[in-house]
Amino acid sequence: MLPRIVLVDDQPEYRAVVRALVSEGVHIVAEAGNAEEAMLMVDEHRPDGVVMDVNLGQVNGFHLAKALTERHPHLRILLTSAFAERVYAEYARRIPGASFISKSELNGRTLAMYFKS
Amino acid sequence: MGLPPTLKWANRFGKDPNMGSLCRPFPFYFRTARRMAGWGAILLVTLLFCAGCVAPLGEAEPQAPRARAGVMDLSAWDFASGSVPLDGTWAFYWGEFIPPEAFHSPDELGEPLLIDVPGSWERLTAEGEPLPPYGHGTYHLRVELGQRRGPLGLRLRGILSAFSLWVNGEHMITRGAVGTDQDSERSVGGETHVGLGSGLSTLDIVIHVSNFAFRDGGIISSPLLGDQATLTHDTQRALGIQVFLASSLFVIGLYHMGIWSIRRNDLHALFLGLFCLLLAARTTVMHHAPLTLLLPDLSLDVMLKVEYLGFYLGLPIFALFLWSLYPKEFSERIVGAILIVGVLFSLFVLFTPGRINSGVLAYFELFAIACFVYMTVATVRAARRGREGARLILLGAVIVFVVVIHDMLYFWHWIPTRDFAPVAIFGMVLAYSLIVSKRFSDAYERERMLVRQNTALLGTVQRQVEEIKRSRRLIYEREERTRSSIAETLHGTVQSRLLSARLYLQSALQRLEQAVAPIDGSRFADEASSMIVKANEEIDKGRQEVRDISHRLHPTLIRMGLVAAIRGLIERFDSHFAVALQLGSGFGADEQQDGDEAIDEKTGLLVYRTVEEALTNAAKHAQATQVEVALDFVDGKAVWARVSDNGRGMSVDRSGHGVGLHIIATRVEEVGGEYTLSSTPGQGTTLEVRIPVARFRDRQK
Repeated sequence: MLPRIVLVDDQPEYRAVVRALVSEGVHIVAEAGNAEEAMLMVDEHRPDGVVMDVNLGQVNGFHLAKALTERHPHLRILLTSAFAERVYAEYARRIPGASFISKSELNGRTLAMYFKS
Repeated sequence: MGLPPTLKWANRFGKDPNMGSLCRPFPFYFRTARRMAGWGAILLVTLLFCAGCVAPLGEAEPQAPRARAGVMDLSAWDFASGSVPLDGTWAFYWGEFIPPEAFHSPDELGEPLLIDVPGSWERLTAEGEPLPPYGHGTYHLRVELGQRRGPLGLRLRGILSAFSLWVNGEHMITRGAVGTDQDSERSVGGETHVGLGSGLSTLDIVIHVSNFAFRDGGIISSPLLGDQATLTHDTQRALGIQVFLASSLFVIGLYHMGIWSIRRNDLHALFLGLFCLLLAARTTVMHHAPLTLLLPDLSLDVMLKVEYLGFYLGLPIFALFLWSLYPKEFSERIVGAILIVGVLFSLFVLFTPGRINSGVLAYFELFAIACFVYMTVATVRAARRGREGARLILLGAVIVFVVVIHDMLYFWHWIPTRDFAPVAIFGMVLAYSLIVSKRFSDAYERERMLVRQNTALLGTVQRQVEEIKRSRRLIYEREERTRSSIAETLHGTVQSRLLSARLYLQSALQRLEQAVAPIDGSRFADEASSMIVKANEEIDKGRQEVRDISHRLHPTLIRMGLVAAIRGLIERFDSHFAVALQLGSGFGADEQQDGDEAIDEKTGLLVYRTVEEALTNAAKHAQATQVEVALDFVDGKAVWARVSDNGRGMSVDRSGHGVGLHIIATRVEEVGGEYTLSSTPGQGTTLEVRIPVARFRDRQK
């Protein structure tokens, strides 16, 4: 059974691409375009993990990630960004159950490996 | 003769149709008084006061008896009604000093000449020839008093130039030293009072007179006989007035000299001051001659010099005064000519004895009349053109002109009234002082206006500067917003599309590999794969470029917090030099939570721009190899940042900065922050800023 994840990104086009490309590795149970939606979806679907952008409009993705893990301690979070700034990886490490990956490295296999481990 | 002279003149001004031309000043005067009510009132009160002071000094009672042929009968005269001038014809013995005892047996004396007193002996003729001004003689008058009780006194003045007095055979006084020639005579001026005692019924008056010092000889003013107390009282009052006039003129003069010493451009104050001082000096030797109270033996010569100099210098200085007030109406040449004539006459007076120089007075008086005419014409012109104070000047000038003419007639014995020029001149000086004071206060007022205008201008400039600062801030903020929105699009939409394309290609590549794996060695498949890889590389390059541009426009990372943005920034300079970041304790262990939360985005952005500019300079110009960035959040109020490099240094002068640093410096100071740039050539540059966060900005200002 594929890991169930919620996809959070403020660009709907990008969400469509991801949905199309990672279906072999993970099961996207819900999508969210902003932080509030993300909280709602996670509460509703209780996924294994969340794939989310560090930038959510005016919201700092790390703050959302922290809030999500505090609410759901077993939730695994993969933070993504178009570019791999060093500081993202560093900040992601400080959140339990969270990691960072560049968006260009996203694919089904990677996601499957990350959420199954 | 019942009215005092001043009032009489006023009446004639008002009524006599023949004085039409002289009436004109009065409407002028009243118009002026209306317009400049304060001045007019002051002037009027002063003139009335002076006139009032002078009024009781009427010396001559018209019905007083006159001396006839050396005898005067005053037995019917009541001294309580006033003093008596001993005017009339006296006995006169030319060329002799006859001892008073000799008059006990008058038959032994020759036939006397009969001389008019007051008057110069030049009017007499002896043996068909007029008497010369220089010489000596004896005056004799017998006064019948009847039975008198009150103590009597005699006032003598204008006896030129030295005399001795005997009354009833008793020597009363000698003024100067009478002589028979210029060497044996010592002349004096001034006024003499002699107490005659009481209980006298007859006065036998003998006066030896000599004159080698003046153009006139003899008793040229009326000797006054009267109740001693009244005489003393009147004289003291007259002296008091004269001292008052002299002191007032002196103080007014000093005051204007003082003003001039501070305001050297106000020449009218200088000239009026000099004029007043000259008049003051002249007043001390004229009439009752108050100066002789201090210096009883002052020679007539010295007194004459002071008097004449006052006139000869006073006229040109007065002309200069008018010229300085109305330079357009007064010709410099004519005023210069008046000055030269005045100075020449003054020099003549200074270096010649009185008996010579007193003779030229008449010529100068003629000259003075011409000058007065000129000055009046010019002042009328000024008044017509509406120049300030010209009408008042004109009024004063006309009054003084009339008074001076009158006094000339008086001095030349053509009319018998006393002179009252000093009072008129004093009134005039006072009026002119008011004009000068007005000018002075106007100048002061103008300066105050200027100060007020300057203050207003300064306010306007400050408001405009504030406006400029405000619009600069708005421009800066608008620019940041625009940059941020472009960066947002680049970083979000554009980047996202490129990324999607890349992901599709990546995925396509995987599919292609899976699909073609069994078909080994397919040339087309290999080519397709490598093309996709190349496409990916191109896309990556494009993404990198878009990212760089978007970062330069606006640091997207700032949304993650200032520290995150600075870390990202430092990363961009990795290829130039090693950057050490030191975070102060103000940010706490979790830089995400503790520090950046409290730092608003505007402040963070400004700190970011500062560090960015310093790093850019270090990379572009300073050729630094090591840079240290220190950052702290001080007391939750302000962000402190310091960037120091080991480059070659730069000019600290702000005008020598690049545009970037200049903008940063201005911006930092605008929000109430501190900006310090220090640099040593060859040893690097340190830029330090302290920027209050938004909610502390207003309080800091």
